[in-house]
Amino acid sequence: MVKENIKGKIGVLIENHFDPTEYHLFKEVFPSRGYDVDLISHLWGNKAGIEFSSNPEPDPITKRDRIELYVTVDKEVADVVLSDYKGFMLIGAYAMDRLRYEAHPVKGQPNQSPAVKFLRKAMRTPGLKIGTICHSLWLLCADPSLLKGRKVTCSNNLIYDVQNAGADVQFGDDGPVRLFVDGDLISARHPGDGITKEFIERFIEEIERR
Amino acid sequence: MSLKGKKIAILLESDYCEHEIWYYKNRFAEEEADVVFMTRLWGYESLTFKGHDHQVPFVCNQSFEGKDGKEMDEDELNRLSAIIVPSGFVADRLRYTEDLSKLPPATAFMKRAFANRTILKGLICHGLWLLAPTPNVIRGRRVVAHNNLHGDVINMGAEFVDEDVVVDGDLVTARTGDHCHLFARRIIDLLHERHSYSG
Repeated sequence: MVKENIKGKIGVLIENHFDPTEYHLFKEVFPSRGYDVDLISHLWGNKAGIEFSSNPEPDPITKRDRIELYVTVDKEVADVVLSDYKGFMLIGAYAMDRLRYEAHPVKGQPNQSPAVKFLRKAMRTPGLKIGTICHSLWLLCADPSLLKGRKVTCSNNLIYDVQNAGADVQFGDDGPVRLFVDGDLISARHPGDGITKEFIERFIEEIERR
Repeated sequence: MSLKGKKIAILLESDYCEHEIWYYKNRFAEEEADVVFMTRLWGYESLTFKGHDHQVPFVCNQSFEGKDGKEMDEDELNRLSAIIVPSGFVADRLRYTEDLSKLPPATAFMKRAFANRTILKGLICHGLWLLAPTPNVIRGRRVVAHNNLHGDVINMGAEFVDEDVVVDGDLVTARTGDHCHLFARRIIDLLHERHSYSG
């Protein structure tokens, strides 16, 4: 690929138990539209990187056995320079629950995990797009100031966590809507809806909107 | 003194933590309690779940729902001495519902259990997620959960207590699946105390 055609970088926040179908599409669609993809996580001081595994997916050859996908991440979320990126995607399944680990809970103090601190900064940056899908709003639930009054959609199982965090879940005829854009926050319901590609396309459209 | 005649229900779904569930199965049996694993059977005779860490199958053939998808009979519910919502992603899976106009059946079951203070409620690690659709039952109560759920607990209106096991009346909570032995120990002690009150 000719590097001068690159329009920018997208950061994907990831941890163990990520959704492999979303991962495949992030890696396919963003580069085809001119965006590099960086995987970002909290590395607990491991400079060489950490290997994370996905939730199991069907083996592409046997179609029966379930296999895990492994990725190595060497970018620490606490070191991310926001201006290097056009936007950040929070991958679905259970990964974002792990990134909000609060090592020292203190009454009245907002979540101090590196990923939540990063999001507080990122979501205060006008024009910087944040994409969430399925269960990934969990990361924002860790600090309700990030979700209060925001219009979003999410997986059925997440509705109450998200509402308890003060967000306004958008409903359609069959539960939460498939896709919703509220300013710089773009949310999608569930990869099982076949929404992921449309979600990525819409995310890019919002980035490129003048 | 044993726990003979006490019935302990443990809710189950896939992504349960093997070492934890096996520990309860044996530890409560050692006290001679009657341990039953309950799930939503979706009309099947039994369902086989897979563990989170080693994908070990676990067959579950009892339901917290009554016949024909109705809720559990009041007498049957009141015969339970304790209900445990375990760690892993059991609670997230059990709160799935196809009918968003009603509480998920597992949450509705817990809400009824909270209305009866003689039933001990034990929730550990990520188990508190099951109560998110009905946060009133733990509003203002002292609980602990996995540190990942710190925000969820506060968003539900409960008080997050930074200890490995927390008792608040008929509610026992513990931090992670790795604390299952301390959690089980406390539940056994509380059931003994309750046993002696009732003679």
